[in-house]
Amino acid sequence: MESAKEKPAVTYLKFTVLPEVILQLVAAATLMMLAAVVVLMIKGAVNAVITRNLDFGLTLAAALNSLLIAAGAAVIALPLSVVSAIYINELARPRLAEALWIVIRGLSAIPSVVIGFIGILWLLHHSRLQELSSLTFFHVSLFLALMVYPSLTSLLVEQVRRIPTSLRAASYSLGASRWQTIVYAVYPAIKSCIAAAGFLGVGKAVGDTAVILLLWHAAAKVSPAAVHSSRLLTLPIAIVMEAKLDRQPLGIYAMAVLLMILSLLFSSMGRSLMRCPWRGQE
Amino acid sequence: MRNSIDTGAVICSVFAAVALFGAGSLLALMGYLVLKGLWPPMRALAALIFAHSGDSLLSIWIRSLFLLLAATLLALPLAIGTGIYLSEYTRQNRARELILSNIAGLGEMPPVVYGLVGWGALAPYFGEDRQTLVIVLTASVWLLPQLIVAAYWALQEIPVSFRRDSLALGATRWQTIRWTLMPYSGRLLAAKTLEGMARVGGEAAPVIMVAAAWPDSSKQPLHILPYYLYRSLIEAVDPATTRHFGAALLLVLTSVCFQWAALRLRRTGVVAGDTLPGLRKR
Repeated sequence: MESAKEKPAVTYLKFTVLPEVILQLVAAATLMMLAAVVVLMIKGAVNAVITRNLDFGLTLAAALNSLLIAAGAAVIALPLSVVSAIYINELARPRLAEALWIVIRGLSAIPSVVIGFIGILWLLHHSRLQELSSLTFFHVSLFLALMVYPSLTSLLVEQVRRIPTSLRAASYSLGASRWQTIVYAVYPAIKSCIAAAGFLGVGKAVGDTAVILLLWHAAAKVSPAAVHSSRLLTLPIAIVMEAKLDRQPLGIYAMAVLLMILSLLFSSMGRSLMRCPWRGQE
Repeated sequence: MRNSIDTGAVICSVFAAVALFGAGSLLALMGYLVLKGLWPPMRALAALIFAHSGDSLLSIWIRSLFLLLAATLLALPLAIGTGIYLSEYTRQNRARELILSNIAGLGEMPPVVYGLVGWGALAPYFGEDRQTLVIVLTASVWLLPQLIVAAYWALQEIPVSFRRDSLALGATRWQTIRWTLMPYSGRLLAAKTLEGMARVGGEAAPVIMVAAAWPDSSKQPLHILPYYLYRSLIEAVDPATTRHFGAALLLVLTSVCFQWAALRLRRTGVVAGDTLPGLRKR
């Protein structure tokens, strides 16, 4: 009697594969794939260091070049993008601001090959071709800054927009002018975000390949000998050059790991500085 | 009599097995026929798309778009599964934060690093004949972390009250995800996917690395637009030709259009922000 009560009237089988199981499998497979990428790099790097297949001098010089060029790019791009972000958010009229925002978002997607193309054209047009090998950090940094500027600006615009209106309202109610509000209320509020944008910009510029590679090849065409001791030899360039050799160069993995560490360092510093103090107050 | 075998369930499962076998075998037969019939035209189409030669800019452009789409379609299901798993089935603790920040860091890695994955792991495995496959896989490995982060944040943007209401109505966890969270997170995910595609589709560095695996091969992957531009710029005596400008223009147009589509999908303007994409229309 009791068992009849517990049993449902109709018995049927449900053919259900738990979606949770599938999700777990997919997540495990994907995370393991990503881990495999990291393990591949680190294994190669450790191998290179153990078997002494690594040209320490070259690697360090390349890393130093990378850092200097990227820092130059960030130094050029950062003030520009701070000014642009403040203009877009605080000064421009809404329709102009909207248009500028759309344009800058679009510009941030421009591929770096195209920037390199522009760089080659500019160099051919404006400088003496014979002196391409005397290409300085400044030139390269300039083009990298061109590449980094739109993404830095759109990042900063989003941060400035997060500032609560009450902050500006308080500033205005104390009798501050528009300019004073920008300098004394808005700018201090985004200070840490500006630092963060600087770090993110360096992190983005450190890993760039195509711009510098194109400039490198343009320089190599003019004077092949002068190029090898060139300042253009950054980490990504060194990786590509080593990869073209026929033997399996191990040092390449060490360089890649160094590049990964640099990029991770800068991006994580940027992200930790990006934490907005008024997230909850929106 | 609780431990006795349920006759109804046994009969039911036998019937189900027979029915499934019959339907399954019939479906398999039909599928075989369809595949047999469609295979030659599909082969021809694939040959057209993946061919290594062919030098009209339009065909190169269409091919590289197609390959980008393939890479995205390859990475997207894995990324969505992982994102859902990380967002909905794991507890919010330090381990999850660590995994997430690492994945985000991987997503921001320089493209050369992913090129190195293609060069060191995929290219030797698949061989020279399947170069296109190597390039597509490299791109999808690069897309993977970006898309995981995108899927995760698209789900996190949805307020907790959605989940609570759905669970309170008696839905299971999976039903909550499928019918409450997915419809509202699709927009943001699509936007971020488009942004990732804009980035990956324009980047030449991974393709340069994959091509460097076979340096003296006659089969360079010239059917990828960024690599095509890079290669022809290197080889050209005069970089300022119409062809280069055309290729650069196509590259810029593609990336910028993807980015603008993403912007429209997000509906984040400077003037009117929208924290919950997709809510307004429904």
